[in-house]
This record gives sequence, C-alpha cells and structure tokens, in this order.
Amino acid sequence: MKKRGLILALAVVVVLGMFFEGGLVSAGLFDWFGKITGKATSQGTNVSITISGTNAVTIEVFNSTLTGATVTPTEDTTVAITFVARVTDADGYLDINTTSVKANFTSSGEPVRLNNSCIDLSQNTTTAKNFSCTVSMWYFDKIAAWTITAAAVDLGNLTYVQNNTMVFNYAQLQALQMSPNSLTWASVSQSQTNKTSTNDPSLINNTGNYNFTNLSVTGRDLYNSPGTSYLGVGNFSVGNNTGSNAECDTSPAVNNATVLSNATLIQIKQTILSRGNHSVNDGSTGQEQLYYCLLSVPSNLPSGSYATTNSPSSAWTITGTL
Amino acid sequence: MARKLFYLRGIVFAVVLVCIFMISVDSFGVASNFGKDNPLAMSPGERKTAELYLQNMVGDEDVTIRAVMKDDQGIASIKGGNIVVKAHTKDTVFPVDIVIPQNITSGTKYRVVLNFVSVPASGDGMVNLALGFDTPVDVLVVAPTPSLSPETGISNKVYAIIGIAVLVLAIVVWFILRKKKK
Repeated sequence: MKKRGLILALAVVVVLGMFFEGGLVSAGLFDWFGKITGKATSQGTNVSITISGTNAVTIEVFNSTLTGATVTPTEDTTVAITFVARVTDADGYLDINTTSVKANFTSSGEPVRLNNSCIDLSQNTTTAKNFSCTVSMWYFDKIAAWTITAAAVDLGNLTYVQNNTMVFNYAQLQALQMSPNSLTWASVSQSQTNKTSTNDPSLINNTGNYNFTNLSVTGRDLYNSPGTSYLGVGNFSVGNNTGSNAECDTSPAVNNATVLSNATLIQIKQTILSRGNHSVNDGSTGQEQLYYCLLSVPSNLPSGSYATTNSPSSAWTITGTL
Repeated sequence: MARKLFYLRGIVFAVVLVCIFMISVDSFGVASNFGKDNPLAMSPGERKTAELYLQNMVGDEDVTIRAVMKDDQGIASIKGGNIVVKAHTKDTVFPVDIVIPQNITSGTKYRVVLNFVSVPASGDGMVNLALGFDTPVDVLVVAPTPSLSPETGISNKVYAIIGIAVLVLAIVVWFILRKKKK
C-alpha cells in the first residue's frame, strides 16, 4: 500500500514538474532560417466609409494586388493596382450611385493618382454591389506611405463621403538607363587636343524612384591591340555641358568638366539625377547628359587602335551615387 | 610612291580611335523594401535573408549584372558571380544573408551597401560603358520577441510534455491495476 502511494506521489510530481518547467515558450530550430521577402505579404486591406443618407452606406475594399504591405514599382512604366470595392446600402443596391465610386492614392507633395470611374462588376446582393477600381502608380512616384482613399455616394444623399484611413508602402526602385553604351572618336594624331566624342552625349535616364545625388565615373586606360601601349584615361574629361568644347573645359568656372583617373571612382561635377518623368526629355527631369573629350593625345603615343576592349583595359563605369 | 608614303604616314601617325558606331541601350533596376524609412528589423543573434529584386523591363535584351559587397558592416554576405536578368522581367531574386551578432544592443542601425554594375557585352567600340549604382540595405536591431507563448500558440514542446505525462499516468494506472489483480 505504501509502495502504491509512493508511486502515485512520484507520478504527480513528475507530471506537475513537466507542466511547471520554465520554458513553455520556445523558439524552434527553424526560426534560425527566417526569411524576409521583398514581395508584399498576403494580408487583406479593408477600407470602409459611411455615407450619410436615409441609411448608412459602407464600402469595403478587397484587394488581391495591393495587399496591405508594399507595392514595388516597375522600371520605366506604371504599376496598375486593381482592387474590388463593395458598396453596401441598407436601402438596397438600387440606391447606390453606380457611377460615383472612385478611388485615389495620395502622398505629401506628390500628384494624386486616381481612378474616377470604378467599374460596376454587376455582382449584386440585395444591399450591395461590387466595383473594380484600378489606379496606376508611376515608376518615379515617391518612396513613401501612400494613403488610399475610397469614396462613393448614394442616390438618396448627393454628398460624397470618403474614407482615407488606410495606407500602403511604395517601395524603392533604383533603376537607370543609358544610351549609347559605347563611345567613338574620329581619328586623331599625336599632340592633338580637345577632340570630342562623335556620338555623345550618353543619355542617362532615371527609370526608378530613387534620387541619385550625382553621377560618378570610373575610367580605365585604353590599350592598343597587343596591350603594349596605352592611352592614359587622364587624357579624357567628362562633363554635362557641350558647345564650344565645353566638355573639354576643366577650369572651375561655368563648364567645370571632370578629368578622369585610371580605375578610380570620380564624381562628375555638376551632375544630379533625381527621380522624375524623363519622357519630358528636357535634359534635366529624371535624366542627365554626359559629354566626353579627349583633352590631348600624347606626342609619343604609338599609332594604333586604342580601346577598352583591348586587354588589360575594361569598360568605364557610370555610377549613380547615393 | 611619295603619295603612298604620305598616306601610310598619315595612318601611322593617326591614333585610330573610331570603331563601330553602336546605338545600344543599357538598363536595369534593383527594387528593395529595406530603405532608411523601412529598415529590416532583426533581433540580436537572428539570421535572415533580405531579398532584392532585379528588373530588366527596358529593351529586349537580357542583361548581365555583377554584384559586389561594398560595405558588409560585418553582418552581411552575398554569393558572388554574375546574374543574368532576362528581358521583360522584374522578379529576379537577389538574396542578401544577414546575421546580427548576439551582443548587439537594440536600436543599433546598420547600412549594408551593395554595388550592382551591368556587364557590357563585348563590343568593338573604343570606349565601352557600363552602368551601375550602390544599393543600401538598412537594418535596425530590435528587442527579441518570443516566437511562441501560451497566449499565442502551443509549441511542439508542450505537446511532447503532455504526451509524456499521459504515458507516465498510463503506466501508473497499469501498475495499480496489476497490483489489484494480484
């Protein structure tokens, strides 16, 4: 009998010990392999508004694309964000003004991105209708939280009511486009000076929404075909002005062209590459133009064809600077 | 003869710099969700993979990108080598592995910087140009949060404890019943 009691007591102690053992909270082994993706997570975004009338009207936004987290811009084009808005009217769906449903995205200092005519999907219940709204965001739109505004009106009350309590994040996109990606010069002779490229400018477009503070260049000496002689890249300059050999003018006055240095990242003076609609094509909005000059040809340079494609040279790199 | 010599001399003294005129476009993009206003939140001792997305939506040519770690801050690493980004795509994943040391205090900020450069196709131009930029990945160290708690869920460990307890009780009951039979 004593033995049985002892066993029972022991069992109770073991069980209680297990339950009160500190550490019911634990991290699993697989928590070491947590993964963050740049893609939007799957979480619904609901926006509701109340419209005053004989009965309250509400709008819900159901969204499979704009999923409440982050939207990634697309290089040099728009991102169409489509979502479904359900408008509910206790007076019945026939009281809903089907042409009134609209949506927009706003952020401080930015143009409004909007859709004033959401489409009636003809998915009706007795008191609700579904509408499809598509709003496009541009590649140059600001990296920020954008406010979602949905609005509608019913036939019984002509006052628009809107809800703007929800936001989404528009992600960062660094993107550049350059054309042409190869420079040419006409034939030159030893001791000649200030020979400009025949196919510049290289036009750099900002095709994302990141503001680059300036452009830099890493130049490389140009070698001849056997790789025995080279034309030093220090004989070249680059600038964002042209005309009257402005790209050859390295004096710190108006033109202020930048002299290159072998295998060295050098900031190109006076350049800036902010985000913007480069299609304006005014030479400054979302774009920069670079002009190149061969300042001088060394008098002792052996004749030949000098290029970055000849070993051990390599391409010059134009870099957007943070 | 003199004319020929003059012509050859002209060639000899000319530095031939003109090659093939090439009008081609170089472009690519890198999308990131980990900017300074939206840093990647990690706890001391935590390991995560931040994913960047390479885009090639301009032009019809595939583009080859070379990625270099410019400033790893002692916490980040990438796999080397070139990445081919197919034309008209925007979802080529580029992973950045990040490990926060155990002894780092909450609130510490890191800015990992990577450099992406296009690899120009071998051309015949005098000066080939590549295009590139630095991409920051901002990281913020936050206080660790338990992944599971009695309020939020039941871990496998809890299930194991319950299972063992039931087993012990079954053995005890069996033992008692056996004694009774005797």
